[in-house]
Amino acid sequence: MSYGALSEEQLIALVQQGDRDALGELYDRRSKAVFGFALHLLRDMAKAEEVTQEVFLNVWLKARTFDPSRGGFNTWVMTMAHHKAIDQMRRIQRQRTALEEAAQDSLVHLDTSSDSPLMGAQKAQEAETVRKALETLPAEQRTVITLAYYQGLSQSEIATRLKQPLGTVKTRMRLAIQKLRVALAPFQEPT
Amino acid sequence: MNCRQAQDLLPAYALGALEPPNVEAVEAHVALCPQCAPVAAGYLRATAALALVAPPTEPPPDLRSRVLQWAAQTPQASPIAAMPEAGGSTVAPRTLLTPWRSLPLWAASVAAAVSLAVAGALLLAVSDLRKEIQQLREDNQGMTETLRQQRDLVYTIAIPGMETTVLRSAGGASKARGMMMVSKDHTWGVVVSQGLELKKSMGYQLWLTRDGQRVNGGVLSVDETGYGYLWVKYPEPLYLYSGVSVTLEPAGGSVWPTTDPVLSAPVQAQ
Ligand SMILES: [Zn+2]
Repeated sequence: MSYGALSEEQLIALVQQGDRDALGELYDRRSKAVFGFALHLLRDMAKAEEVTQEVFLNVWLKARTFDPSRGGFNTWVMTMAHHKAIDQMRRIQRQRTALEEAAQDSLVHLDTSSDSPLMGAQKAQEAETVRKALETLPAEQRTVITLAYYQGLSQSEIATRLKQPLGTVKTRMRLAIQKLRVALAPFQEPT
Repeated sequence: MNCRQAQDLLPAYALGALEPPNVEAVEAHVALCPQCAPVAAGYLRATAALALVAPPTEPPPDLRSRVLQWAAQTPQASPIAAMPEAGGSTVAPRTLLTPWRSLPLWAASVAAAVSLAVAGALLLAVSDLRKEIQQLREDNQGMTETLRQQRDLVYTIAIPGMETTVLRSAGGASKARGMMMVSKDHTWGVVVSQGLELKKSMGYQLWLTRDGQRVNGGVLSVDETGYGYLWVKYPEPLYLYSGVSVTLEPAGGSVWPTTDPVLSAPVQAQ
């Protein structure tokens, strides 16, 4: 069977039947995105590798719990990658006590990697669109997205850091995510 | 947790900014709520797109083979045991629990009791398996796969509420028989068979009958001893079908059955 022609939903259905070649094909398609993202968040090759490994082991282990109505294969994989990477970040942050300066770094984080030679033109354009979408958000909304998604802070940690009530942080998150949903619609998997 | 509370927490959930007890409460609600589930899916799709800011990077070259090798040795979790989570919890490979150990204690004791009850029915398959394992000593890959299936099977039997149906040979023409275990919610199951003659370039395919039409349920993996195994995810809940059957088809399966059933069983309507 030629796996190259199959959709990711077809491949995960094969993985559900215990097909390891299908797992290999999914790895070939998505491991670069997962590893790149983990590396971007963690800035550490070994930790990014650990995250990538855990993600694909979970694709195997939990294939049968995968539910396409909850956002498609890519969403599933990238959500796992994000959770595992922020788990790592929190572990690292717990070890360091004085990380407050990192908050000032938050926006630098977004525009460091725009011209990696490894990035194909299409990927670079996607990254650019995401960056633009983030830039169009009001600064206070962009900050909560950055602190939460790219720096792994919880909503109450963000409230404390910004000296804002939790309700305000929640409202900013909601408004931001609703705008991003529209702005990033082209990259999102169909339901 | 009600819908208003869940939707209040969903943006933070999708951003990974929710504290653990809330994560579980939100996931439990979303898993069962038709209103909140699409909202959560939409938010998660948006946050997954945020990952695109990172340049794709080739992971270390040996990681792929390590992942695949690990997969060859590890049975997949059953959908019921690994209840809903949006890719959240951490299962580190080092600390991986076997399915047995990840079962709650009460389930393990139910498992022990149920296993005894079905031991008789499975005895033949087990003795076949012993012979088979002998043969497979040299073939590590094959053995790992068989063990995976066996562990899967034991695990399936252990799940409370699994229903069992016996598949019989049509008209009692052969000694072949099978057993189908179906999950409580009728969405997945396991079929095992014995006495199916292994034929070159052919395979035994499962069919689900509905309104006189038979749809593909997958191809059993059958060994030289006639022991067959298939994990099935039903396209629709099983009770919507009127029966199941197994036919001999060219390896890889057919679009529709081309021979008469060797095994069949009616499905109980709900
Ligand atoms: Zn709800």
